[in-house]
Amino acid sequence: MVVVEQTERELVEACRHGEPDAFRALFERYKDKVYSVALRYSGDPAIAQDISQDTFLKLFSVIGSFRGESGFESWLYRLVVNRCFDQKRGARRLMPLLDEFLGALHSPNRSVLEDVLRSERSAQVGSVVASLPPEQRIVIVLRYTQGLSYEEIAGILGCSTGTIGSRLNRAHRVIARRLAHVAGAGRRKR
Amino acid sequence: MNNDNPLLERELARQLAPVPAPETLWDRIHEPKRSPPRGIPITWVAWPATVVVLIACAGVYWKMNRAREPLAELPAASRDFDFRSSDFGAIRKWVKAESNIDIDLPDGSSATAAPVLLLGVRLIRFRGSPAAAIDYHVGEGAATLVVSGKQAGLSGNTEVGKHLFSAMKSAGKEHLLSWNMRNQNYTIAYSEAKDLGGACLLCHANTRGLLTVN
Repeated sequence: MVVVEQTERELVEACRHGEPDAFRALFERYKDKVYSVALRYSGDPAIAQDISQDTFLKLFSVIGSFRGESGFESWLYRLVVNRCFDQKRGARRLMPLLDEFLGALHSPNRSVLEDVLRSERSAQVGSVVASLPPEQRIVIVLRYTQGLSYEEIAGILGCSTGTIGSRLNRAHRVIARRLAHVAGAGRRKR
Repeated sequence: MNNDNPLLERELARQLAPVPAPETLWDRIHEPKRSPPRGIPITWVAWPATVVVLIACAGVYWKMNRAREPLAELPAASRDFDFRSSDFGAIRKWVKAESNIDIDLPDGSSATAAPVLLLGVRLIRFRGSPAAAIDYHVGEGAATLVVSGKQAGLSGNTEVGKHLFSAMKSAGKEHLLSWNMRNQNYTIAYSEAKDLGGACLLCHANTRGLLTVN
């Protein structure tokens, strides 16, 4: 059965009938979105793979219950969001940032400190986002990793657009304050 | 709707951009590894052990964060040295004169070992205190030594040469090493982790090969 050109609805229907190729096609279509949400939420590739694996296994096991009242993509996002929330904070790697710092230390022609700091700056946003409460973090990830609208995020999380706006506002304030603090520490030279 | 900080929003969109899933993901889904059995209840007898483990983990996490925090506070670096010199003695004198920071050397050590090429030093703020960042090369390796000013209450042996190591981490070729000595914090970032002793040649003439990271 050729599934490459199938529409989303046809793919979902084929999956509900247990077509193996359809599962693979559905996976290929959505794997990057699922993995991106998982990675940006968890900040850790290994955990992101666990979340993605769980999400797709859950998807394939419950796709028969998908009735199409909401869009399939929103339904899928709900699955990955739930898997993200299920991840225990304690399972996170302790020092991903330091690994990133050290990953930059390979150029013998540049200052090591300079490389460390460049890598640090690029990691600051991820670090601050990782420190947000889960309900704010997931809103930030859905908004900026997937580019979803307030309405779409509200539909996925099951709350109002006002709540989404409020969470985003709070998250923005926290992120701006913490990034400014880090930058300020960097500017206090002599 | 919520666009009061477009610069922040642009930065978030850039830093949190989507990423491709790894190629191995399908294999994990197609042939999932059997997870260890779940749902084993934690009995009340197990709670004390759990609390002890959590406290221990919190301690490790706190200690590791302490090791990370200094880097987060380092200022933006540039290659504009405050003082350029290939003479370690001259750098030490300049740092002492400008910032009153001592860079102690072990007894009997007066000169940097031959493979070390000093580039210069910058005075920076490090955890709220003055610090000196010395850039140098050892062969093909690049290194920076950051030495803080004396800080009351900072742990560390009062004897010169006694290093109280507080952080040691490697990833691939690279390595980061931090220690306290005489109430000062020393941190080395070095690009050749397999030969960490090379970075120590700045102050110790005969350390090559003594510190090896597997």
